[in-house]
Amino acid sequence: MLAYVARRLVRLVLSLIAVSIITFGLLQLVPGSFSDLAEVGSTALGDQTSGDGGGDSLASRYGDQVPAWEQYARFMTGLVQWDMGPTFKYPQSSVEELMGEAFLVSLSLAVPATLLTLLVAIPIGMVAAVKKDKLADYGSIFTLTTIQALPGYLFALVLVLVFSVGLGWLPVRGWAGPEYMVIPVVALAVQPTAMLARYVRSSMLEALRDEYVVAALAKGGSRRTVLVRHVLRNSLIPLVTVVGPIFAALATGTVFVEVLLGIPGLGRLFTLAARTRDMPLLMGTTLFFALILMVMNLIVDLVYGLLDPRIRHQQRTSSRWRRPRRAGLLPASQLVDSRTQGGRDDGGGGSETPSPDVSAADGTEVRR
Amino acid sequence: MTRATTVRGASEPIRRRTFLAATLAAAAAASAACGFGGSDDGGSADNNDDSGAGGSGDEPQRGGTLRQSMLPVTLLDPAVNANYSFGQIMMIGLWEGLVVADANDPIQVVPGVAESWDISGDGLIYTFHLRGEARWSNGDPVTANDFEWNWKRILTPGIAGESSPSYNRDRISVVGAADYMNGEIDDFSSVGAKAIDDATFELTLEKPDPDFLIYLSQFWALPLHPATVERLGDGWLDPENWVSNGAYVLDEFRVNLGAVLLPNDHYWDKDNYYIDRWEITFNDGGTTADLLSYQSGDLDITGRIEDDLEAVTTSDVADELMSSGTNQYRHLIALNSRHPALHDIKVRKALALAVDREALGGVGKPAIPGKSLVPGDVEGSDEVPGVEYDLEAAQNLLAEAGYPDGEGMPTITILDFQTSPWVEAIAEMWRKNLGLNVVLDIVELGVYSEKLNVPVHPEDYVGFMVTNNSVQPPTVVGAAYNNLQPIRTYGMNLSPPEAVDDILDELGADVDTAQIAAKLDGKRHPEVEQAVELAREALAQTDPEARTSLAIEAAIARDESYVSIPALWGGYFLLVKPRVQNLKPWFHTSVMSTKGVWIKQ
Repeated sequence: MLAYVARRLVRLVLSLIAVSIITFGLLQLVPGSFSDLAEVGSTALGDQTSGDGGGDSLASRYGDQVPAWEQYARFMTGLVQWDMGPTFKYPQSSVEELMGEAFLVSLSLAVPATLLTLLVAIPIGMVAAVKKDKLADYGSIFTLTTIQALPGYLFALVLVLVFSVGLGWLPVRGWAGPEYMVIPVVALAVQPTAMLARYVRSSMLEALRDEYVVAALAKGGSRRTVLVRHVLRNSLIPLVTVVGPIFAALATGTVFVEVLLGIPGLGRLFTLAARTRDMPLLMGTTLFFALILMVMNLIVDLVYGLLDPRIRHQQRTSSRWRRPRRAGLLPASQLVDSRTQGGRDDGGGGSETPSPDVSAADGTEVRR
Repeated sequence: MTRATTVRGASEPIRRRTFLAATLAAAAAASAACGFGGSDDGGSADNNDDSGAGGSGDEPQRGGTLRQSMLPVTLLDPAVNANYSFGQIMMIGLWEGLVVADANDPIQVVPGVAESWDISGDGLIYTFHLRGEARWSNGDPVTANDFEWNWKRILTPGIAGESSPSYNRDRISVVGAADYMNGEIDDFSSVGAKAIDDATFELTLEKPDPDFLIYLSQFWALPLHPATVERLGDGWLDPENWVSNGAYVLDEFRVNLGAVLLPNDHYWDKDNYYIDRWEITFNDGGTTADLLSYQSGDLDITGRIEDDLEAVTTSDVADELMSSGTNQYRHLIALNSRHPALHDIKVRKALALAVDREALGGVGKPAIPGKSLVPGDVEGSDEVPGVEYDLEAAQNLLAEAGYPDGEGMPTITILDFQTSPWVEAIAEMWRKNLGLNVVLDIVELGVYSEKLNVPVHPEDYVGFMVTNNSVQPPTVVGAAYNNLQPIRTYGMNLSPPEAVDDILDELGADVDTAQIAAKLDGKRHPEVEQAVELAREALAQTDPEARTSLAIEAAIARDESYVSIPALWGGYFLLVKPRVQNLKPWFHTSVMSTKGVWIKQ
């Protein structure tokens, strides 16, 4: 287990370095520099204050003259020491300070949004599965598919229109108290809820077909007990793989919703950095995004291993891949391997080790 | 409802944002009509007014919260030139300089920390007498030494860890200041900024400058509290340690989110500030979001509307739009191209004369028709005739230049990073009036900035860039500075391509346009060269009257070189709720002061 985690951590660091090189490289290729954009942007807004100075810009700290590799090296050294220095745009704040504050904001949206998603999606998915091929099933699946196809910021806009502009119950935008959280949390939760509910449904359907359900019912268990204690429990295990990435995606900020609703989270910081070509801030936020996603995936895989012994097995065996496998373990690990190869196309997350049950669930969808 | 007067072609697609704004506005209006309308003036105004006037008449009432939205302020340091106007709005509230711009007549100043001042007969020595009651927010008296300390700070490059000093050494000529900044002298005592005693501060200029006091009222001359900065370093920015000498203190500041300013009890002029709490929200999400907040009563003032003024002028709050005097001009600047067409002054003049500015005024609201590069509210602008619409003359000029009815003219490209109805209207006028082929090249901001850095565009790229500039300070002498502004190879640096090639040969291909532009003296087209020369002469003049008249000549020469085609004039625009009383936007970059502003409850 430890070896597995260590191996994953090494991979994680290598991935981060790759992400940093790609981000930095792309930033070099993108037209326009921070100083040029600041100059153009200032006249665009009818402001000329930056135009009448000496023409120097804050970006010259890193400097247009400094070779790109050196800028990169300087930033990465700072990253390792957790001292990334000031950003171009906010010279009085350091990258890590800004990200720290923004991450707290994003987190305080991500946690309730994830909870809301779970609270709503699981019952809907269950009902749809239990009432399969009935109106409740068709109706909810149709609605959920439609919702999943629509972007989250659209919901934010509709919510703003109805509850802020129309009814005047909630503020239009900003971040100054609990009432400012309602619209973003709901808007953020809508899409994952749709996804997760569909997921719960197929997972439940799969479990319902299993023989132990028949056995449990035959034993005299009430339908409700069987559904909740056996079916639901078993079908929830694979959800861990989906919830992890959902949470990671929400915690790293969802760009549109944050910008639209004026929430000072990570997504807003990220767009700002990209728009203004603020190298340190963009590098910092991108790497942070990548880190969160990878760490969440790692956690998901570990948790999954704890929940499902077969996966734990796989982790252990693959971390000892140099050793000859014991004969008794072979069939099981082969089974797992063959089932994981196809990957998952229904999750929308980024888990690197999809669960066997997930692909099985997909199989159900196809057969249906 | 204000009807929008648009002259767009029917085939022109509706802009996404406009559509969005319109849809939202329509829905908002519909829901209001259904009886859903929220309270109009928000709920957050405190009712703790002590005026007891019973809401009658124009007697200012104390109390209330002013809620304002602006672009995110990234930096609060008078020593650093990194701020949009929005940062300056805050800074002008937090600190007070020696003199303050007068809201009633923004070209004048009124006493600030300095109760009075004397100017020597030769116009070189300014002696400021500080008021005894001026206090920092911690109760310390504000002294002349504090000002000397701050002058030293702003003149020491990198002192705030930055390389972009706010002191403008090209325009402000305090003795020794530029040398000290450039590191040529180390001894600050040879700089003309001295505390004579605790209550007397003296500034010495190299040459007389009638605009000096206006400059001095700007953000860069605001003083930090020396003891706090020395004790805490960068920690002075922390609201917990905040000490300033203006009408407000900083109670809260959150990056990308907003700030709260509270009255400074030690401020000597606090009786003229009526607001209890000034809440500032930062918005980088665009005009639509801000407009919605404003319409639903969450905001009292927003200036976060500049990138889509059209959405504001077509909304139901259009009549709440306030403007400062006009000192900004929207214009098209000729780009340097290898094609000879725009190098011919006749062609440029023809293009300038073929623009019907009255019609532009209809689509460019709230900006107004602008015939010159010296906007109407700039002092001395009436002496500058500008360009009049004359279609016949334009057509004749084009024929004289060898392009009768536009025959043989290359396609004219107009480069911009956003669509504007007035630019589209100019393109249409040139197509219809002169028979030209005109295309708009709307590109992403980064691509735009790169295209501006091309020293000479190829033969098939002939045209203009769109921009908005201002005259600062709003005097004709300020306008003369604009003749010398451009640091690139277009506009006032329009030159024969061969001249640029020679410089490129000399400097090597890997230089930026600023380096090329610096070597263009004497190589530009003669009419442009003249405008540059006249501006230089004007600024070198020590006699104020001669200076003004030369500046006027320079402005006329610039207009008549037709390297820039003026289109519209504007100022700073703010949406202000009717409950906010006595607010007067001015045309300085600090846009407004809250002095005398009160909230009707």
